[in-house]
Formats: sequence, structure tokens, C-alpha cells
Amino acid sequence: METKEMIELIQQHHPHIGEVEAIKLLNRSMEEFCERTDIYKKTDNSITTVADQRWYSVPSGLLKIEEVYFDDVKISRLQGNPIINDES
Amino acid sequence: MANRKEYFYFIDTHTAGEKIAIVEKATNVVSKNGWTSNYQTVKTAGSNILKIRGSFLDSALVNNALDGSYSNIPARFHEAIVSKVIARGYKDPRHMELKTSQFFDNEFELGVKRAKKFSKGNYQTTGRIVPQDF
Repeated sequence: METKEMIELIQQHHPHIGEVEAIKLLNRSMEEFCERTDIYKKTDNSITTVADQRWYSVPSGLLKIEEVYFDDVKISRLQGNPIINDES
Repeated sequence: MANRKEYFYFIDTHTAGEKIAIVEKATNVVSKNGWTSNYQTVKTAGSNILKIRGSFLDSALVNNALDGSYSNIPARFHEAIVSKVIARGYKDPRHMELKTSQFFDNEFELGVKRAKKFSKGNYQTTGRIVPQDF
């Protein structure tokens, strides 16, 4: 369904809601929908690691991690944090 | 036999947002102030790609592309998202109609239920029942 069709459906019930507000509300509902259903799953490979760097920003829009591969090998999640951070 | 390296990840929330950390297991290698850690920051030279498989948000709709849509949520679920917005509209004090709002909330919930079923549909598990003597 195209954005304009969605807006038209909303405005049939709520003519006072403008386009910009409708889009904001649609996106907020979409976030709840994705969070509750896990409908959009993908493999993100936007992070490239380099030597001596420990922390990397997670990809945008990430809700839940299922698996992580480092250099094509599946790695496990560490319970807790290591007591020493030796990142240079 | 090649030396097998063990890597781990963990997540933490920083001031700059959520971050993922990658460490390498290295027994008794890192020491500081009398403490020893079995995990060190990855020392592998060169770049390695980190692949993260998980669930994501779809890309948001934008104001200047009214013929666009949610590209990763199947079209048959778009109406459920619209229902949630309509339900919210009926909770607005200017046009409050709680019964109608509840109806559209239910429509959204039905959509969520169908979408959960759909998203789990790709999982295939196989198993074998092992008999046990008691």
C-alpha cells in the first residue's frame, strides 16, 4: 500500500490529521509492529572491524540480535563484560 | 592444525547509543592493577566484516515520497499499521471515541498475530523423540 493510500484511509476517519502528522503516526506504529512481530529480519554487514578497536556502533534500526559472525565464523555472546578494557 | 581463535561479542549502552564490542579470548594475557582478564581487544590486523543477523525496523516513510511505502513489511500487513493510527486518532481528546478506538486496536492486534505467524514460518526445526524407560 502506498503512503498516500494509507494517509487517505486515516483521513477518512480523522480529517483533521494532516499528511506530516499521519506519516509520523504511521512510522511510530510501524516501529511497534516491527518490534512485536520480528517481521523484518536481515543480515547487516556494515561494520568492518579493525585491530585494537573494541566498540562499534550497532547498525541503525536494529531491534534484536540473533547471530553474529566475525570473519564468517559464528561467535557467541559473552555473559557480562570483561573486567579490563584494553582498547587503545 | 591451525590455531583456533575464539571471539565473543557483547552489547552495552554508551552515551553515543548502543554499541557492540568484539573481544578475543586470550587466557591471562591482559593485566592491570593486579587484575587479569581472559579477554582482549581483537588484535587481528586488517579489516574483518562483522555480520549481524537479527530483526530490524523497516525504513520510515518520508514526507516527500507519497508513492513510496514500507519496503520490507509485506503489503498485506500495512492495513494493520493504518488501523493502529486510526485507533490513536480516536484516543485524541478532540475526537474521543473509545469503543471505535478499541475496534481498530483489535484490528492491529490481529495483524500482529498474523505477522508473528508469518515471520516464524521460515523456521524449520527437526527433532527425534527418544524413548525412555522409567
